Amino acid sequence: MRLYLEILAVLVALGWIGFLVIHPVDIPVYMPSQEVEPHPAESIVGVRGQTFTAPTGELRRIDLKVDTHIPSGEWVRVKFELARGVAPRATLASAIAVFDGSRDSWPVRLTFDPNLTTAGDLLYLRLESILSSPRAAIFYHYSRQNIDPQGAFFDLDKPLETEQDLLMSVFRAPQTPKPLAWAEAFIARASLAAQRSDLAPTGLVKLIAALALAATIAAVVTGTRQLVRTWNGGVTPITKPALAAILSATALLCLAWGEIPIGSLVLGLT
Amino acid sequence: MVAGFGSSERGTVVAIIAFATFSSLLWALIRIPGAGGPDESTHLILIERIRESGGIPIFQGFDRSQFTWTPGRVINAFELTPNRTALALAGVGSVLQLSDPVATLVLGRLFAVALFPCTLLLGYLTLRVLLPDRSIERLWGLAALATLPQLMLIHSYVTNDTPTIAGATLATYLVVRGWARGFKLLDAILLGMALGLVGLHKANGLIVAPMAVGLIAWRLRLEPSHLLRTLATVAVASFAIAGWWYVRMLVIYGDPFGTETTRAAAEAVDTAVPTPRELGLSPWDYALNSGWIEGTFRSFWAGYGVRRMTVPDITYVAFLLMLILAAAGLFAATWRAGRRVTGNGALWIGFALAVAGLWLLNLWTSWTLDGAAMHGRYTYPVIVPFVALLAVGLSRVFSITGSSRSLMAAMIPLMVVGNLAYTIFVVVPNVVALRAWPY
Repeated sequence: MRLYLEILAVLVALGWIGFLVIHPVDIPVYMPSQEVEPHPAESIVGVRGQTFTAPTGELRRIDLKVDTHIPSGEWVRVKFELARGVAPRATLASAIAVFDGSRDSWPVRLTFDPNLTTAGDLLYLRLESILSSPRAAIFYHYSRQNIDPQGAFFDLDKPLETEQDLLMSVFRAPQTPKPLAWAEAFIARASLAAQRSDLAPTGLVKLIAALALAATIAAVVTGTRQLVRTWNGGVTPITKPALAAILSATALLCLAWGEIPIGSLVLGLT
Repeated sequence: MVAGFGSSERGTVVAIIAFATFSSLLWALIRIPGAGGPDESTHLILIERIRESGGIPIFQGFDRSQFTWTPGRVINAFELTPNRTALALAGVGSVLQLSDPVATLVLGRLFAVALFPCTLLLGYLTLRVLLPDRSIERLWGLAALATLPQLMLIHSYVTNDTPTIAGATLATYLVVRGWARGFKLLDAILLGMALGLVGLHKANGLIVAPMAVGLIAWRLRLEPSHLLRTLATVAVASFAIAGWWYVRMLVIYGDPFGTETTRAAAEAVDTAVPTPRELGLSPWDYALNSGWIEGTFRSFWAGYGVRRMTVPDITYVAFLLMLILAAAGLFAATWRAGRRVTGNGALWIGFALAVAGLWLLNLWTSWTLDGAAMHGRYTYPVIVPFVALLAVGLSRVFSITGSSRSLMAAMIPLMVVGNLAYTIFVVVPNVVALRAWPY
């Protein structure tokens, strides 16, 4: 019985690790802080949007959050559109989603071809909604602070006069293959912050980030060895590898909980 | 090889300290200048003023504008805080002719980072003396110190908390070492010097002084002459290092600790917000009804200000659960030990009293001076005794499962990864949010 339980735990752990192995790695080029208080912006008249300038090329993912308040039998149809420019607007990719249930803080992940954008592009994320009745509503999380001075929050394709921004994270494609892409994802974050603080050369910060990551791995590996060494709960042939797998999977869960493919809307824009 | 310090343990110690050092260095290099952590800009102003004037500036009273945005009473009176690292940093900056304030900032941050492995090593050595046969518990303690987000933050920006914690940790180690060796002359001299270093940085660190005196008195209670000689040596060594500062404060302000001077200066400004004491609240009413307990608890682990650099609420719940379990374990261990204090029992009691005392002192400071509840870091001078108590308490509770050591060991990699997650999901976005995103 114990052996079967261990096998089951190992399979779950390896399943999660395997998912992360095949899951694409995205490199953040912008992430709003959790300190920025989100406010819901209702889309009553149909079109909301946010402009931003692509800080790098090969953007391929945008994350945002929505609240839906939809009575039974009603629906909200949203066209998510990535465009270059506002007026005139050249649509790069789009997709349509129909929401038919109520939920708060619904993560929406929009993915698209990285070849569509280049660094410096003025991009426009346009969110066009059609409500089945006035009783249905959709809200986009936005900030009342001007967190993106170069961009603006739009209503009916016109910028709002007050300084507000849609809360969204933007990601690019990695420049290295896995497993290096995971390290790149961490080092790129540090590099992004280093560009803001402007205290040290970006190359030095990348080096320190790589060393910090290597030291983290060493600490996790040696810590896991301590667990395996001290385990006194009885041993089947797979107990020790099982412990290592479960601990590794749990550790990866701390780092990649946002990638769990449950409870979020993933929409490919074409 | 040192007994009880196998290569497996040594490798883990090295890896954890390396992780903490590189991570704090990374934080130091990416945090926005002047906004690295609480009061960094204030400490930088002090360094610049020392450089400009060539000496320690004299407190001239508060400007009206200083109280228009905060109920702070003491945080702005940096001339009255015994922050002597600022003097050293200003001196080094002058010698190196660092004209750019950013260069001074980098120097200060690198100093803070450099103290982190020293503090961690001292903490680990303390745990080794305290827990000679419990390698997993001491490794757990080291990992807890190395991965505590707020402690790491303090070791990545310019603040007088960093040298205070280092000095207090050194003093704690010397107390424990002296306890084991019977407090020889060298132990007393070094302990006095360590306490002097603490006294030159922040008054809250001086909580280790009564802890040290109490433990020396208990350990040498059957040797009165040895006891008096030891206490006198500690006092003389402390005064030799830090006495000049308190004498200077007495001569200039008539107030060795500066608290009364600060209060009087604040009251002279009619825009100052009344303190909880002036509002007629008792300390307990204030603690229970103002959010002080929650604010201080949260800022002890991670975050400062209203909601800056906090972790998800579920993480605070996990910390609280850990604290409750450890307290239950300590209670069980104490119950089992009975009324007689034997062996190292007095040492643990001294630690517990020091931790409780500093939390109460923290409450008293908030109640009488600034009315704020964001000062969990003020209790860090006794962070090693706190973590030692936590490790022993948790170990005792986990022993019910029969897998105490394994459970403690399993927490080590998870704490490390948790800290890395904090870097990724909190530290970096915080930096980016502070500066938005330029192109």
